[in-house]
Amino acid sequence: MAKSQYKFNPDDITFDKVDDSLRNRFWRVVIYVFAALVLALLINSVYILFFDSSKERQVRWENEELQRQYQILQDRKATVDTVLNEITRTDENIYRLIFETEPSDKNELATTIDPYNELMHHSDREIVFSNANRLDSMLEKSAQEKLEYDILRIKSEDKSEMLPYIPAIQPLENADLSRTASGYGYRIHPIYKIMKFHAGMDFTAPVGTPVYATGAGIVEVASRSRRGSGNRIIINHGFGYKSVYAHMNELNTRQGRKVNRGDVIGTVGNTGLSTAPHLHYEVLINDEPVNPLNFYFLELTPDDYTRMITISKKSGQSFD
Amino acid sequence: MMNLTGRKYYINPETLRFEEKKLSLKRRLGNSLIIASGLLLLAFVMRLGCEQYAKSPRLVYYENINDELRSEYLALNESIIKDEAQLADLKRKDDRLYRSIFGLEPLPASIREAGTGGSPRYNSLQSISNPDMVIDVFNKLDKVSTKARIQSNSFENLEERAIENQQFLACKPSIQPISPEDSYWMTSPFGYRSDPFNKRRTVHHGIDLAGPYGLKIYATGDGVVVSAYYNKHGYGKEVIIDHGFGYRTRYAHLQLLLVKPGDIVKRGHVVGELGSTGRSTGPHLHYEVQYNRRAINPLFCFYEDISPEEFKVIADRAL
Repeated sequence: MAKSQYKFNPDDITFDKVDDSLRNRFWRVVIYVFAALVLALLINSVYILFFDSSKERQVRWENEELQRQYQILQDRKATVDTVLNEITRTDENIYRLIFETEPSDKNELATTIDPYNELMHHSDREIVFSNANRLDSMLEKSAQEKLEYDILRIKSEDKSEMLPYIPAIQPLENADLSRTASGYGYRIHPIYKIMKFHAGMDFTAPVGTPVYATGAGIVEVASRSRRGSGNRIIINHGFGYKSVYAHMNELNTRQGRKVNRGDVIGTVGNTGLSTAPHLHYEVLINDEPVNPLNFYFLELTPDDYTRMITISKKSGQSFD
Repeated sequence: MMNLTGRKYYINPETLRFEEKKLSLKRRLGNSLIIASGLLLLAFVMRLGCEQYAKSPRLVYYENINDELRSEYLALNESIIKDEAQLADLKRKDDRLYRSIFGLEPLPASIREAGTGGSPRYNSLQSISNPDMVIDVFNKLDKVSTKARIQSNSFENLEERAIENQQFLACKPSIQPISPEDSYWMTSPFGYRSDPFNKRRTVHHGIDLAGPYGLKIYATGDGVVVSAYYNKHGYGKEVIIDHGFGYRTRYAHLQLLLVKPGDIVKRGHVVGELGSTGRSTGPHLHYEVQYNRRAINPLFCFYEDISPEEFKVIADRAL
């Protein structure tokens, strides 16, 4: 039999039996458990305060490691950046030496790099709304343009026979436009260092690069010379159009031959008064030179055109 | 005063008295130990549970830092990708533009792609979780830095080449020795001709340009005057300019020498006046271009496409 417990009551100086009913015991246990939990929590808190858990330790170590490696990485990156800056500077210098002009790639990049940036500041709704509006006006416009185009087509139908003959491609493989070097207009002469009119367009390419006829026609001139334009081909396309290919290395065709657009008529060279291997290309209408830039329409997209215009404009010096 | 309230009593059935419930020190110590270890056990279990199912604020904090660090790596990665693009752009310019201008072959891929070997260089990184991304950034940076170094070397060569090329273009004889403004005409071409004195077929090493006495004679390229005196072998008063790069020019039968040996002249510099000294039948200039000591046709060294105004610009610049 469990012994009853008593408590001394100092008020009336008696011993009172401690109530050990089930309910009372239950509550006591609850209090004990609660106290134990609180204590355990307290212990935990103290522990957490002073020590890391294994997970925390792992993550913290990882952080330190990441930080350390990042420092190394950043240092190396800084070196690479310095080298890159140096390279860019050298590049600009080489460019300047060759073309006598400041390279303007930077501005070009800035304008093309993120055309959608301004859209970022608008909410989706605004964008959808304005797009819907734009689409409407574009549809309207395109209907109008189709009409105009139809009229043009009817008008031009009798000219369509001209199409295979007119110069309409680039005279050499230049899909990425990286071979475009110097355009039509006033340029610094590479030897005389004076402004001279440059009647054609220069394409830089290694000696031996194939040169294409830019339209069908008859070879009017295929001459070799160590002076002036060097080895040169002139194709008569009819309708008043002629194209000139100068400073060539090999000539694959002869005077009087018929050529089609895309035929290889020779290779790029460095003959005549030329300072570097390049092809000098001219388009003549009624024996007057015109800007060849307007005669690549079968090959270039409008975007390419814009790029080509900037490239050919910016070079301050030609190659002959 | 003794405080009696906290104490517990029980009835001793033998003495029938209330006796204080007393525990030995050992028992008490034992009890406390049990309670303490119970508590610690509880705390430990609690901790395990917490770690399993909840994150401590500190862990969250650390993990946030971890995420931030990783995103910095990603940012660096982005910037490396940009560098790569920039390098690719420069490489294209190098290959397609510059090298073709100087008539050089593009750098072979074997040099460009010079690898560093796939040795596990980042052992310490292997032990972190998800090390791939971080190692990837390192590898990428390594590649870019190698590429950048190669590109840098290539460009340095090209830069030298460009400077040299420019000097070459400045020095190479490439204008006519007499201004287009002045009236002159070619009386004797380069190559075989009959000698004006003995009518024998001899090689003419230059071209003869006839004009009035006193016509200004211009240096056709930058160079150093190596001789300016009376040549007893028939050239009369002559000027010889060494242009470097293997080129030399001779201006003979002059009436007046306006330079002396050692003078540095620029293209368009007046070196003398046209005359008829030496073995000459009339006032004319004998203009000769030598490449590596062999005479070449001077007509290949100039092209009459300069207007008098343009010629004046060149001559003025030489002053």
